[in-house]
Amino acid sequence: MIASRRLGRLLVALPSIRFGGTERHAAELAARLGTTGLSVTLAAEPAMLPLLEEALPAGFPAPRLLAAGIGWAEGDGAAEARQRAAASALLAAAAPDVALLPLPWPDAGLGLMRALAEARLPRLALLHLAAEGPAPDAIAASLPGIAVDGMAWSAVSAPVARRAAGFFGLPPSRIAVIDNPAPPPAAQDPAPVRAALRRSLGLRGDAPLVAFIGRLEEAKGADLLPAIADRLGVTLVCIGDGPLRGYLDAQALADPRGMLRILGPIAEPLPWYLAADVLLLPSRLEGAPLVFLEAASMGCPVVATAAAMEGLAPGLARIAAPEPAALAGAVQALLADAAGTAAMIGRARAEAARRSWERAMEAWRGQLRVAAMLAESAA
Amino acid sequence: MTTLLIGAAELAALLAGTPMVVSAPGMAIPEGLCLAILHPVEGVLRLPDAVPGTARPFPAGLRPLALLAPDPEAGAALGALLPPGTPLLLGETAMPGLASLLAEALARSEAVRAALNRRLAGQPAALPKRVTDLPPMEGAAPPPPRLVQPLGRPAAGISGIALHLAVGATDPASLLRVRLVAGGRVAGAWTVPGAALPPGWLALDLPEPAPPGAAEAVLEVALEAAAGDAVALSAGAADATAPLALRVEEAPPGHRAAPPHCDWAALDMLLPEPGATLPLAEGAWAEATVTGGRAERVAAGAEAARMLLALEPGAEATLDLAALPCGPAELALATCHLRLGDGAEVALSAWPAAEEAAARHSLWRGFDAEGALRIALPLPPAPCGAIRLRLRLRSDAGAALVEVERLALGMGLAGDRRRPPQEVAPPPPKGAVRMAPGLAAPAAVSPAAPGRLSVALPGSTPTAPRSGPAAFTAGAGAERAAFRASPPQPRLAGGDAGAPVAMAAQPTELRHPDAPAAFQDVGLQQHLVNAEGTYRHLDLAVTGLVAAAGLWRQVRLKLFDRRGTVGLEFRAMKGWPQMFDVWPGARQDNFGPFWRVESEAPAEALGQLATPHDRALILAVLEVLPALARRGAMAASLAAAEQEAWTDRARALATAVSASRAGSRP
Repeated sequence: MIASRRLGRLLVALPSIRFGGTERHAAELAARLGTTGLSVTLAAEPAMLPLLEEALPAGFPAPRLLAAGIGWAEGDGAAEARQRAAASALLAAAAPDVALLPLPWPDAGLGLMRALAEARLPRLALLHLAAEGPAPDAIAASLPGIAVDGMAWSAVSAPVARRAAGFFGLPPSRIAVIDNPAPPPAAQDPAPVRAALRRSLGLRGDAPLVAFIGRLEEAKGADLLPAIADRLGVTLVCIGDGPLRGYLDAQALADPRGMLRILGPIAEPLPWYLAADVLLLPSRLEGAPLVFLEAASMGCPVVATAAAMEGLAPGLARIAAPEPAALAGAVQALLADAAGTAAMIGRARAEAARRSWERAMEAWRGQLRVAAMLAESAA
Repeated sequence: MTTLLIGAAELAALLAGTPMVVSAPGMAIPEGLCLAILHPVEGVLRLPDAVPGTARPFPAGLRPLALLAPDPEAGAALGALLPPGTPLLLGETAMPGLASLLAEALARSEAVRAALNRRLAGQPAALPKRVTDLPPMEGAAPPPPRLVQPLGRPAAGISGIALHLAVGATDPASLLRVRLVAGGRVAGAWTVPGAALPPGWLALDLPEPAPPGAAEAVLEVALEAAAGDAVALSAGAADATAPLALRVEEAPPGHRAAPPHCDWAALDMLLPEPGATLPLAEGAWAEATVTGGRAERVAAGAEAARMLLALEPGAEATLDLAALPCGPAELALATCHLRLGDGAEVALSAWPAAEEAAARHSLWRGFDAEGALRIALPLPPAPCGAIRLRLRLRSDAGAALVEVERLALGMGLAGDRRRPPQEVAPPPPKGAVRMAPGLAAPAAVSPAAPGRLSVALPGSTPTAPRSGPAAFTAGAGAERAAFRASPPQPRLAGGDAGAPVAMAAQPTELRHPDAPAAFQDVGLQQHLVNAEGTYRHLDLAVTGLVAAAGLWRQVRLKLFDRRGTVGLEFRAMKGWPQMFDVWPGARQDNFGPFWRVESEAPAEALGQLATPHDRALILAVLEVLPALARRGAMAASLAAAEQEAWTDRARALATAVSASRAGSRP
């Protein structure tokens, strides 16, 4: 007789210490997984819980939020031990049948992985980002203890999966790629939004407008923004926060033409996709950029680096080298090529439409089942 | 003499067959007996605790099973008041006697039942009556392979249908599935393999007439042609929503048949919506077996558990399900996801339980870019009503983990909805010709060379042999077999009115010039007699009129008697076929052009026939007219004398016309 089991309780353990796309995705995924009768606990650093709660989508069962000292930061050598120590209390409190680990970085959850392996609990790692290069030392040191063969693995893009597979010594096909979903397309008329937001910036209704939306850090290419604005000669709004915020504020103040506008974090940036003529995505490293998917759904064309778009199909954005001149030139070329831009918007819209949460959830539930079977076979 | 009465309720129970005994006072009755015990209460036999009410005398011939009394005296006293012959059982030893009496009563009851069955079996079989007859239209485009055909009438009483195949199947793997549905319930279902799909009419009988109900009857038809097989049904008209060429018969209750190709398992089932999936029962999964791989069923949350199959590199795994009742299902459905690995493939097989040689197989199928794979495999015929499913998986490239989201039976999609056969059709396109039922496929007909045409004469369409329990077919087989190519009524043809004429059994060259005219079928459209009795007619639709000089697939005529003048009337109007090459004469009334030939002065009318073909038509009609008249009169349920009168009128007209042509009056 074929064995049968039911997964009733899911622990989503998020080892993040700051809030971004990975964390927003984790909150939404945790809520949506609760719709099929899974009892979901979302555990994270106490400081993260209010942000996660705010990010929970309406209309879905809210997961139980649980504070746990499992946060990880790059270079924090004590994080793994801290996670292992916190895990026992976490497992006792949540009593999960299966665990999901959304990882902002491949070595962000090694302590959790080891604890879950020791508990022989079905577990699924979700890799959001992985840089090219050798495996982080911490991973190599932890490998025997985390029992990678007994785990299910997933990634948001094929490049991330490929790199992570190398880090953990897995065959590439061992990591399932599950596309990040895109938001539903805009239903509103963009014309009034474009006019209103330009007025808010003191611009004419027909003034060109370029937007950057994302974390203000070097990985996202935010350091390039002042030079790009200077070369473009059109208004560039920056929405977001991060370590480069002070630098960018200073550059904006020093800009005599006022081309660079730093707006800071905005809770609901979607109207800016409707208002902007171009979204600028100068990232040096991306997994599956949510801002691109949001722009695609809203019909906003994108100028991006190849690194930013590596997890996506070609032809969805105008690609430029990660330097100000190339990016500014690409923006200008895009603005001058109405027909080509319209075709590109259409392709991007189609890609966004393909990436629904419904499709993704089927894959996520499938990977949870895989996790159950792999843990059993490893045991 | 009986002086005890019996309560009305008790009498009703006794009449309904409830075994009853009468118990004298003081008699101890053993508990647990399935008997009604009557006690005398103030001169009336009543059940214990019965409410006093109306009482009646025992009807003649009816009596209790026995009288139970403690001693002979008590028995004699009470027995004198009961119907004569009531057995008396005395004392504590009543049980053996009672058992014996019950056994005798049961034997008598069985004997009566058997006698009734014998009498029923000896009854002449109730003949089905054709209520719809839409012949195929030559030149009409073949209907789509999957369609829904409303019959425009309730299913109640339908005993059989027949569909027409324009092109027979050449591959035994082809399959025709037909369901007769009413009110969402399957009244009839047939699965006909390609070997039983020759061109011509295909009879599909119901085991018994469809039960009463007002819901409209709908045929669901799916023709699955094997690769390279041009098998096609015939349409009854040439427009886009043309109904199928079809026949419908109805029969009174009691009619029985043992139809070949019947899907007994599907009968009377509630029909799921088109496209619906019929998930497997949990028990089917519990009994599933897996070889060649590792399997586990996992549910995430409250959802149904899904099967996961893990394969080692180069392995092939097999998932076998126990036999499943397939009911009205048409498809085996599989949906799989490749959760890990790449290069895996899946194949699905389905076969009737215990008959693996009849299996249908999907080919090996790969997963799409999203890692999903869906297979819909048409089920093979499963006369036993059960099907086996097997899913095979292989992985050449490396280890793989496949999730079986769904392995189920399913309904096909709804087909094109056609117009009911009775609805008025748009005018047929030029060149479309109504074919007579039972004739060969359109491809065999060449209007340009009718004289050299080789056609299957009426009644000659190849038919599948009938089989089944003799009790079902006794007395009805011959008539039911006739449904395949001709109506159930006795077939009459030729010039000798009333004489049955055997039809050719094999396709034959067109008739010899000396051969008499014949027809395949005649239907009564109307029998009319006016209030004064001065006018009457039989409106007749003839199919398959064959004479040496031609072949007319449909002919319609009125044979009338107007104050002793007998005649034929033909009309050019909707519902009447085009019979003449050139419409004769110029007479018309409110209903449009008409042409008559009458016993008085027929020569003038015959002179209006412009072509030899048209003249041949009238001569052929007159030749078979007595037979047509008798058949029409029979169909109108007229008395024998009146049937004979119509036959005489037909003969008289034929004689008058013949005499006119010979230049003399009768």
